[in-house]
Amino acid sequence: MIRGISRRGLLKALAAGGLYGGSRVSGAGAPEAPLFRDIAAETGLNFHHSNGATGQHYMPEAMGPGGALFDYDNDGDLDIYLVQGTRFNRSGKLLSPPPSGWKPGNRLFKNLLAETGELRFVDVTEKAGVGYMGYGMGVAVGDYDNDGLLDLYVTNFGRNVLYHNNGDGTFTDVTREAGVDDPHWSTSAAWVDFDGDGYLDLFVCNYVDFTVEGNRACSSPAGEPDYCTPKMYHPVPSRLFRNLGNGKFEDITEASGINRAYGPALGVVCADFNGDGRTDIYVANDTAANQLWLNQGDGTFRDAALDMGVAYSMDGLAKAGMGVTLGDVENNGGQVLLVTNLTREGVTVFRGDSRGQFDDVTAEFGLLEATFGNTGFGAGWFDYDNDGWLDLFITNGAVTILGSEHRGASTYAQRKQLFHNEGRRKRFRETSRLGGAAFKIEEVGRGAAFGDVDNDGAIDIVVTNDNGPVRLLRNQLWRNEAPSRRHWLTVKLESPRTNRFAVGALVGVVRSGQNTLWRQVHTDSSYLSASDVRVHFGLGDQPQIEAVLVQWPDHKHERFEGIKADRIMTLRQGAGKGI
Amino acid sequence: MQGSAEPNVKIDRLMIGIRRAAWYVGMALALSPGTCTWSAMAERPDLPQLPPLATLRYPPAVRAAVEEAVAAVEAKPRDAAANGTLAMVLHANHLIDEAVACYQRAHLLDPSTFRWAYFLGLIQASQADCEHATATLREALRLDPEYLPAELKLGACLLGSGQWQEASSLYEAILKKHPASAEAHYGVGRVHAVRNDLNGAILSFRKACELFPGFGAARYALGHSYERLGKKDQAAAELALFERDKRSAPRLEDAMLDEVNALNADAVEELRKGDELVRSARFEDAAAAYEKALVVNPRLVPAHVHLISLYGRLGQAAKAEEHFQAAVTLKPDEPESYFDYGLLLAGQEKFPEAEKAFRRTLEINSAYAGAHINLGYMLETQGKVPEALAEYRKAVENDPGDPQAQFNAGRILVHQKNYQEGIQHLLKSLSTTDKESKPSYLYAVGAAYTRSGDRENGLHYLRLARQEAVAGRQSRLVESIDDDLRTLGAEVPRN
Repeated sequence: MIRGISRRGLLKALAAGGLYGGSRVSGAGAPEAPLFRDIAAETGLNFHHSNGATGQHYMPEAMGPGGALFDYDNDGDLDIYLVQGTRFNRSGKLLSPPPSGWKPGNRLFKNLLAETGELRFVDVTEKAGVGYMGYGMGVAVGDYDNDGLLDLYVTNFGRNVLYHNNGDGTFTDVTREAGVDDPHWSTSAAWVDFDGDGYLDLFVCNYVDFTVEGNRACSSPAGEPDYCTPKMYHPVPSRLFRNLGNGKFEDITEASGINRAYGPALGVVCADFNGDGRTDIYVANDTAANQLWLNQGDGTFRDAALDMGVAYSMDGLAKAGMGVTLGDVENNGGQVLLVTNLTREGVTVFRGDSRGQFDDVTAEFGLLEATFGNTGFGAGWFDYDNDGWLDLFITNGAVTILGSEHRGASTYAQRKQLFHNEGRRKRFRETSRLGGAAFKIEEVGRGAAFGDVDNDGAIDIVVTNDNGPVRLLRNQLWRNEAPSRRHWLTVKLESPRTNRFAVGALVGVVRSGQNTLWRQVHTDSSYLSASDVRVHFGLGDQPQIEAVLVQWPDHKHERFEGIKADRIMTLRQGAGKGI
Repeated sequence: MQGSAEPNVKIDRLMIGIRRAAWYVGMALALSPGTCTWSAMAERPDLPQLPPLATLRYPPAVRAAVEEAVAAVEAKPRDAAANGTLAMVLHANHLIDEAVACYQRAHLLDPSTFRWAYFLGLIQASQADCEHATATLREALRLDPEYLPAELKLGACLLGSGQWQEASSLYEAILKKHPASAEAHYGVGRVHAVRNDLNGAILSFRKACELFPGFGAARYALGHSYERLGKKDQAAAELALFERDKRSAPRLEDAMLDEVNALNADAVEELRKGDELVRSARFEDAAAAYEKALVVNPRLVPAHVHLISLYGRLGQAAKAEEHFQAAVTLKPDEPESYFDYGLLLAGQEKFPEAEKAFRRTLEINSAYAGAHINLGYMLETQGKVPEALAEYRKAVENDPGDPQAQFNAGRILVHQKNYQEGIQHLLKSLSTTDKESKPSYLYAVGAAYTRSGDRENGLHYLRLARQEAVAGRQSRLVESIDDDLRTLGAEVPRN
């Protein structure tokens, strides 16, 4: 086990320069043009999820799908992998047939980004060999064999699939050889090097023991046939697979103790929650207490969610946890964890303190009322306007029939939501109405993956919909703001000593007279989805960067100087100044 | 000879059942089935539109209840009570969005009635629409500043929207009036916690837990506050208690909300089924139906009340006692609870206790004829005949059409040789529709006439009594009548 100083130790030591100092770009002056525009169809990203519903209300129909933003061919731009459903009832008539030209199975779209910034996607699924045709749920992205190529782990209702990236535009299903299959109903998954051996291990969330044969009949309060709550079934323990470094994994679910407590797991995010230098695993459970698996450093985990205040909401209620996101939203080096929940619950926001204790600050952040009416799934803290403060996106869609007043295009459809971080006011302001047409459409939103698809320095979002089309929400920042007013930096890490993409590393941007901005390298969080492994920083109106600090997964610390804003940088371990 | 018919303890659960069932009866609606669109209804421009109601999709019981309320609104679109009742029905059946507009209409039509403001605020709060809920609940509290549930709901709203100072002031004001309000102490604790006054928070949370040890949210907050202070042992102890009680919360008496919940069609449907099963003497099935109603709505007092006498009848006294306690906790002034409890105690031959229960019933409702009858019977079994007669007379006074009241009064008067008055009462008892009792009542009339010296009428009624008893296969009664006929030297018919 590699040990170093804790994250907070690093922050304390290095983040000199004045917390809360300086000024930030104000959010004043609402842009005329919408903040985002859906460009999926016009760029060739033609994908329509089919949940195969025929009226039996099989629960998996309501839960997918997810998607991933990742550069599978290392050409410098983000490609998109989308997970597809199928049908349980072969003879039944589909309630909502997919559009003409629809193709079954998961789909990989290659990004043909032109130097002009023009985006175009082409479906390369067949060539890549990643078109698994099962009842798909989600996807996790990570380079498990450190060959510099991002691999895919696809979760399903049924057996899961590990696709090894061959580096020639093709993938190979290595699930059996690797030993990472799981026959249960898996949902989100996360790649995490929990033991610090330099190889990404794999955590897989499992949901409930639903079977088609054992499908229960449930109804809405008004008596209409409807999807059941997870309480109608039994939860299934999640799984932890340890990467042995030779292409094989060992199932250490039992040995690690990670199955000692479990609920219907839907969301997962990995980070060092208690500042002891080890990566922990937070699991959002649907209608049950959430778990925070504290890494004990000896291959075992202990659930500390209750002690640390992240098991329940403030009033001790276990809500219907779906998606999760974690970030330093207050720019003070702290962690703020958000869990999306069911309609009439609102999201739960936990703010961590220096003692590893978390408080429910949902109301303080102004996020309770605004999210109460929606069932949130995919979510992410991200800086959509590059003002240096992490904003929030949530994709919504109900799982049970909505009251007629709230019904949109379908019985379960809801609108996406965008919130602006008001900075030092420590509150969020809903800006969905500025989001553009995509935020006015009611859909059954599920997954959300975040990344800069056109490499223009503004974060875009891929939104997956249950039984609906995928959306690629292109950030319109540069159509609203002069580039000189909103600076940015995107950092890609390369490590020859740890996992290649340095998942788990912390990157800090030191600015004179301002807070150091901290971001963690990850692809996990949100719901059923994987985001860009690169880290993005909005810098506001100050392009000057004093230094970039990196705490590598092996706890080595480096300082990189001479970094210019408004570009994508690759930082290699060893090339910086050791600290 | 003395009339052989015994006074009966009145066990007439059907009556209650019929009263409840009447709620459903006659719900034939002028509306066309399906969706109610309200298009033909006259609307005030400032009134929100009534929501479309897809009643066809509702389960039958919900549909019936909604359609009945809709019909009332159609008949009187500007009637606040009609709009409010529709809102309550929708609210009770979880049609929340639909209920909001109806409450708004009721409130706009009658802004001076507390309940419409309160229910509107309540439902707005349940949707986390704290901005509106806060204003509406403040309005409600102007109409009735003393309604604690409204104050607490307002407090929760203020907390939910981060209005700490306002919440603090409100909770402090509540505690001046209700120092034992665990919820208010919890609210104060929440404000302290958010202000990082952890010691203050702990004091308040601890007080809340003292007042209601099973208060899950307060226990959780207490444990969490100890954690934040680094007091690990105390935190662990409190969180362990929380794990035990996490779903528990103080039971807030909210009679108004109980009225809404009582309209839950699923629960009401189960109540109706229970009533029908009682009529069919399927007592175990009836008990199951009432229990099911309580699963839907544990605060459904009528179900608890029915189960008092039902479990008594089924010999499950402990369960009956449990439901009596639940009923009186939920609604301390419900006469039916004490009445049925009296029946239970009488069935156990605990007559003094039963007498007390019937007296309590009459304290709540002095016009309750059934309670006068049963209290009379309790007194009669203790030899307190004049007192018993006085109760029977009160029963007759309050319900002259009650055959049993007439019968019991007449029986005692005849026994006291006040034949004229006694026979008048006994004749009135013959209006009974209860085929089982009718032969006994006829027998009593015959016997009274005979004892008064009117042999002709005596024999007439004895023969009528015999016919009815034979038809009803009441062989022991037939034997008694035959003995009397023989004593009178009359011919005894062959069966």
